[in-house]
Amino acid sequence: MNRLLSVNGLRVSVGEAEILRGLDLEVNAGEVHAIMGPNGSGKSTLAHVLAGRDGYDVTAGSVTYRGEDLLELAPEERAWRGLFLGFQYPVEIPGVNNVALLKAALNARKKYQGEPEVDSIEFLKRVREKAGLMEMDDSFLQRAVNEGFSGGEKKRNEIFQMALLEPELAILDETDSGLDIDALKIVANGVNRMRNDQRAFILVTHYQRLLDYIQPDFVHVLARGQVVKTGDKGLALDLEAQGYDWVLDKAANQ
Amino acid sequence: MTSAIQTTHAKFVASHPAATWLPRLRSVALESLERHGFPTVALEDYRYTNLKPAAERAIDYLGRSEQPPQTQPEAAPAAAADALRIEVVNGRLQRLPEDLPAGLTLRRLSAGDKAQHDLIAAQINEAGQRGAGLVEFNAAFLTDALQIDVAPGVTLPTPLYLDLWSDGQPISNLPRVLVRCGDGSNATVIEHFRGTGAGSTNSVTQLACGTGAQLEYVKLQTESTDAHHLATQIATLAAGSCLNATYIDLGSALARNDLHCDLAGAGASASLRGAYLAADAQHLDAHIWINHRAPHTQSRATHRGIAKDRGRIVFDGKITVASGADGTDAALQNRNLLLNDGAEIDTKPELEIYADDVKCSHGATTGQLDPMSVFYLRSRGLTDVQARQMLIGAFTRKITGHIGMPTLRQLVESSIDDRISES
Repeated sequence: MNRLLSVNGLRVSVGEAEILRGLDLEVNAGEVHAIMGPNGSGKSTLAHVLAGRDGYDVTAGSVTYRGEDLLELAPEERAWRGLFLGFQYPVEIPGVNNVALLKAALNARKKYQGEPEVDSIEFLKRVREKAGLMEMDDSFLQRAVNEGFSGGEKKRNEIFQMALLEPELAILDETDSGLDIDALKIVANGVNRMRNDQRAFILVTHYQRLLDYIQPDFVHVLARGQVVKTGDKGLALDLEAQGYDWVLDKAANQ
Repeated sequence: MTSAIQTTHAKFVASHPAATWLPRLRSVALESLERHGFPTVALEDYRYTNLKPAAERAIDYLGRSEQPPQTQPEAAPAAAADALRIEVVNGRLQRLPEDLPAGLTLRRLSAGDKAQHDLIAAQINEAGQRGAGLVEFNAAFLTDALQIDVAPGVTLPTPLYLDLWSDGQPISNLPRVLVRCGDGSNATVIEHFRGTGAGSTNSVTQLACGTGAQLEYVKLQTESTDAHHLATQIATLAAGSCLNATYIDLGSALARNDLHCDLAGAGASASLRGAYLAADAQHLDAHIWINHRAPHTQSRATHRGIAKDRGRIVFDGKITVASGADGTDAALQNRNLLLNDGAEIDTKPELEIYADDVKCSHGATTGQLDPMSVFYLRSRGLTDVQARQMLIGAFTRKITGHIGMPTLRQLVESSIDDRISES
């Protein structure tokens, strides 16, 4: 078994508030994990801490990514090692061309891997191919990163970036929120097409809807900063039918 | 009592003899300069920028005997290949290109033709007292001037690229360029000030747009960070004409740019866009003066300043709407990035309105790079430094993105990015 990520007893605070309170998670290559939970359960905090965002204090526990202490690495060092975060709210960056950013991102990873920079013609070919899969036209590519994009276009752009960067571990933070059904299918297809035995996904989501299109291997329910229940995709359906309360009550009574 | 300027001037005139009319022009300017003196911080318009070091260096250089350039200008950037290139080395106008497109005339003051002299001298005198001494200083020590004349109705097929190179010799560079766009003409003019060493420049550029003329003007300043750079542009817009001006200052220890824009004829419009980057201990000052003198005139001014290290950015934008200039539509915006403690930004947008029916707005903001944007770029694999450089460059794209000629836009944007990465 090819272990990509081990999170052990992770405790994280923001200021005075403790958000994650001893979280455990094991992710192997080839797996898709869904992390579900009510608002405020710590889902997005987990995604951000894994990607290396500032402002979170890790007070206990450890995160190991492919044998390395992930928490010691800068966000870009994590990206070079194949970790990707799809943002819940992708940032608009006026003045930075979408394709120029992708080229810089891809070359940064190539450099780390000791490979030569990507050839411009080859790069554009790959860009067009991946953009086509996400049903994004050329005008998208030439625009500034996410500037003036609709909510759905921003999420498609995240998956498009992921498709081009080919990460080993992709964490998608509420990528399904704000999407209509057509955009949701495009996003789900983008993920499904990338599934293979070398790569893993962590889907952070509030709703079961995304899981109709992406079949997870594991579903974890996060509540009050801990994984309170883990199951297969059937758990997501139970949550959809009965809400979160029964899981939370059960966890509280344990 | 004889002042330092008078002594220097007498010596200068003796070593730079000129055609009969030039001494007159020089002495009129000198008298005016003597009355005003060089601008000092006691003047409101110069409060934040002490020009004394620049004045002292200029006068020192003028008092020395002039040496030929010691270094060859660096190769002209690729943008020049698409343009008609006019070379100015250490303030001295070089041989003018000969194969000119129809409708374009280049004249020089030193050519020795009386009719040309009178024409150019009249234009120089029109510039009057705008620079509180700087314009007069330029005229008092003139040795030459270039006049660019675009005939009425002509659209120039190629832009004019003035390549103003300074190699840091102790020479006071005093370029004087007069652009006259005939009625209904269309032209692009770029002035690229670049060089090495402790240069000293005080340039004056006059831009006259005839009725319905369209002029794109780009100033790019990439002098060395030891240079002193003073520049004044005086634009006069006749009815229905349109000026699209971009001014970028990246180099120099001390730089001051004064852009005067007179919307003199009904329906004239101007877009003025500036970007400044002050790093290390650079001090860069931009003043723009927009005068709405006629009805239904429109102006849009956008200035973006970036200050880092101990760099200092000064911006003053003043819109004046004269009595009778009804229907004026003016907007002035200044946005700044203050990248660290120790850097400084002084900004002052001003409105003075003497007409009733006008639409005017102005505003200034100063902020830092957005941490979420930095994180987003880093999460894609850019280093912290790369992410910040990319975002600083991006901040200026709203200014440079309007430059019409693609190679010129690339030149300006790559100059900015180079400056960001080396500073």
